[in-house]
Amino acid sequence: MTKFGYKLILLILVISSIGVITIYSCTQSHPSLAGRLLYLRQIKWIFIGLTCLFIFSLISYHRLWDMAYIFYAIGVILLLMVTFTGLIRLGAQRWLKILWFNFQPSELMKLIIVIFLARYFSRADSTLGSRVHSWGFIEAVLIPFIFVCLPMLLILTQPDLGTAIFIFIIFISILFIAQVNYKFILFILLGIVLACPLLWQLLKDYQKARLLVFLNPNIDPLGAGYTVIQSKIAVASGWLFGKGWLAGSQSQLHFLPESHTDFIFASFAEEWGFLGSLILLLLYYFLIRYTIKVAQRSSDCFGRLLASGIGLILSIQIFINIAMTIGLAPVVGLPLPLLSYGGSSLVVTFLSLGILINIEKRIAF
Amino acid sequence: MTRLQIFHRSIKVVFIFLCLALVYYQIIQSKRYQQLSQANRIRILPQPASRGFILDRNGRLLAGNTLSYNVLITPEGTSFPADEITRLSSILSIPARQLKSKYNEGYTAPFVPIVLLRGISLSQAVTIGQFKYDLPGVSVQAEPKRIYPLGSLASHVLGYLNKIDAWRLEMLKEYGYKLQDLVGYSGVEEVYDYILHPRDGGMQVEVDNKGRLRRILGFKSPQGGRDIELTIDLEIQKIVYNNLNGHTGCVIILNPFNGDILALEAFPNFNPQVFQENRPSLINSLLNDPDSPLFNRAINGLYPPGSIFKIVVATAGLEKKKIHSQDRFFCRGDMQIGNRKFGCWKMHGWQDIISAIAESCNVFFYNLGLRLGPQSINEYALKLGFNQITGIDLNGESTGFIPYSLWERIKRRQRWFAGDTANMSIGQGEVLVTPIQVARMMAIFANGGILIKPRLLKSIRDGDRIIDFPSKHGIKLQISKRTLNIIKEGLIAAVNESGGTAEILSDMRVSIAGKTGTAQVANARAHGWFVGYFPVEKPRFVICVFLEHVGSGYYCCRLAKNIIEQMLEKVYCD
Repeated sequence: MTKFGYKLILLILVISSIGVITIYSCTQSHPSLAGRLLYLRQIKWIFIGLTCLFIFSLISYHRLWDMAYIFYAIGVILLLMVTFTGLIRLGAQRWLKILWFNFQPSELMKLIIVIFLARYFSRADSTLGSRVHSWGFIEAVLIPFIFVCLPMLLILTQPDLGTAIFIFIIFISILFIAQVNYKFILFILLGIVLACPLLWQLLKDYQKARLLVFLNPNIDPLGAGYTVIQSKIAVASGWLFGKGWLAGSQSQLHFLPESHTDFIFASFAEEWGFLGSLILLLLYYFLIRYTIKVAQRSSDCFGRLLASGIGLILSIQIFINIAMTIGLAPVVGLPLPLLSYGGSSLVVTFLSLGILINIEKRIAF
Repeated sequence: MTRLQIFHRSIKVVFIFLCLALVYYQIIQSKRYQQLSQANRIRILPQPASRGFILDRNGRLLAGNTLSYNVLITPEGTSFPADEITRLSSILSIPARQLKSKYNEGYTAPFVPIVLLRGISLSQAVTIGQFKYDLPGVSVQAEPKRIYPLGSLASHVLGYLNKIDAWRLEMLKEYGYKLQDLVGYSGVEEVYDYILHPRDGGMQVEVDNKGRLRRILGFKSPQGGRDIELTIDLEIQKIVYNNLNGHTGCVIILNPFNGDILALEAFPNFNPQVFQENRPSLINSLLNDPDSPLFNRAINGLYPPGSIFKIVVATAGLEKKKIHSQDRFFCRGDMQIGNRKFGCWKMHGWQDIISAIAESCNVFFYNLGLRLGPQSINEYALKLGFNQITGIDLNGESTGFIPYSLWERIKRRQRWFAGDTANMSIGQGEVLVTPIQVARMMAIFANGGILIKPRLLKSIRDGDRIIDFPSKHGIKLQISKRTLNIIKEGLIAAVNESGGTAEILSDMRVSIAGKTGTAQVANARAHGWFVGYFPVEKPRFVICVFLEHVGSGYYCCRLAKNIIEQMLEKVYCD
């Protein structure tokens, strides 16, 4: 383990401890004992996550290059299993029962897509992939898009619009970082804008409602807009220093739904105020800066794409999640990495940071 | 710049953007959201207090309170509680459709209770209590409710209660009145609302998102309204009510010395309870009734006084020295004034002032009126309390009207003729008075020249303390004793001498003085008046009886006779 590795582990442990503290606060007035002990389960997931982190920091990431298409196949199979045998919770079929725990394959798929795309764009040579920008549209965009489309559609049917869109954003961003021709990317973005009316027709009613509510939460203050309004109240009533730990009335009295999962930032901001939120944002910024530093210093194209892909997963989730709690993004089911309660997201995040440590380790040689 | 550097830059921009957004919400907008957060968790649970009682002068109950039971439902989330509504509809035997519309009307937010139905019976409340576990979210709340145990008795004195309306709320807001409060709309319920009105208390509690109580933050104990004692004597009021029932008109009995209203009844009347029962059809029928039962004829009704007004003309004549007690006029049954013939109801022959009052001779008063002129009559009418409110503690009293020549000129663009004066002298033409004004005028002759102020409030009970409400001192009028005595003689003669218009009141155990009146109205039967006082030697009561369209004052005398007889039996025993 390098010095960088220890610093990174310290940073993610600090962030995930903040998560545990916030989960404890949100759930301590939960009616059931199991509900009150959720923070212990989160600690357990952190230990499992740390184990994965160590394992993947030891496995050379070049092995991932070899395995990328196999991972992709496993990911798709898991998603298919969800579609046919998955657990239905909160009206969506996203979970898979594996051994004693419930697992959310779409969380893993986020990472697999990144590995897959990194592998795809670095296949030509293992140095700097400078040839990618001379690829044609089919090779640079269409083929990887077809591969991305399959898991995306499977996730859409769960239904989980948020994660599906998230994967698409990851796709576009990696195209950008992989030096794909600017014109192609602009072309895709233009295509999306033009396709918007058509896509709108394909959305389910509750998805349309969420998007409309994002534009104006007050059209349905008790239904779809309720969460956004309550979450804004929670964040904004925190003021400079917050209401104090265990004293946030929005989360303690359950006005804020999903206070320990998707809306955990609102719970945190209510109790710790602007200063707490600022510190949390800074910690997240340091984490992402590490991934970018590693990407910049990585000697080969695969490592560079992989590291920046991991950075993308983290930063886009953080941005959408926080923007969503203050009403600046539509409500989609994206967790806040390392903070939100939930094993799948936590373990996958730890795992991907393990990969990052490994990439960093190889730079030295 | 490489694409990775661009990526790094955009990450920085995104984080700065998030920081700025947090500055905006958590610092700039924080005050507003803190209030919203308070509003989320803090609820006020009102604890209704009861309205003060209204009692008669001897402490007997005129308006009180009882407990009423309301059915409340607390909506959980946004879904409609169809199950509970169906069950409730079968328990209460009310169509589910009606309950549903109440639910939709009352819905404001999840976990805010909605009143589905007011005033269910105790047994229904108990039944709902038994089904408590099948009816989550449904609760029964007891609330004090106004009752009027005597039905429509004294309804025009008591008035009625109703939900506060927009302009009353605007006016009374700063005195702590709230939306949904009940306030008096007429009668003493309205005038003394500030005494009767309860100060609701309440608990300030912290609740969670399901509206469940977490802890109590504060408590303000409810304060009931204070009770008031009226000057009304329930016994007399009952007698009056029973006698007047079925007629259209009013009866006022008051104490001529301090102005205490002992009985005031006007018909048609209404049952103030109707407004408490939430039955819009009944309320609407009251409001739209052509007989206007909500209209208090005793203080709002404007009627020509007819011969009652002769007392004013006689007083003016004696005081202005236009006539002596011995002066006589000859009545041929009619009199030529200008180019019109003015009639009398009978050929009276020679009449002095006493017999003219007693026999109500029109010709005598035509002559006297013409000697006085309209200005003097007007002056004395005002002196005796007409054309102004009496100041009784009821709202919306009418002032009445006494014409004068300048008014005729300005408003009508007509000249004042001698015929107008003649009409005015016998209380016809433009003269309009209210029954309470007539009763007050009679009190002047009963009490020896004092213009009293009628009153309804005797005392306020604040806990065990009784605060007496002093009667207002009357105004001592500048009328000579001699004049008063001559008029009194006329009033006594009207009852006691043969040929007097109120002769049927003569053979009673008590001596009565009074004057009848028959007020002609266009295209309908005449109104009848009787106003008098008794006992003559030591006056205790002034009685004013007014009946619409009965033809003559005779019927009023008969009604007065029945009332006085019954009063002698039950109340006035010495």
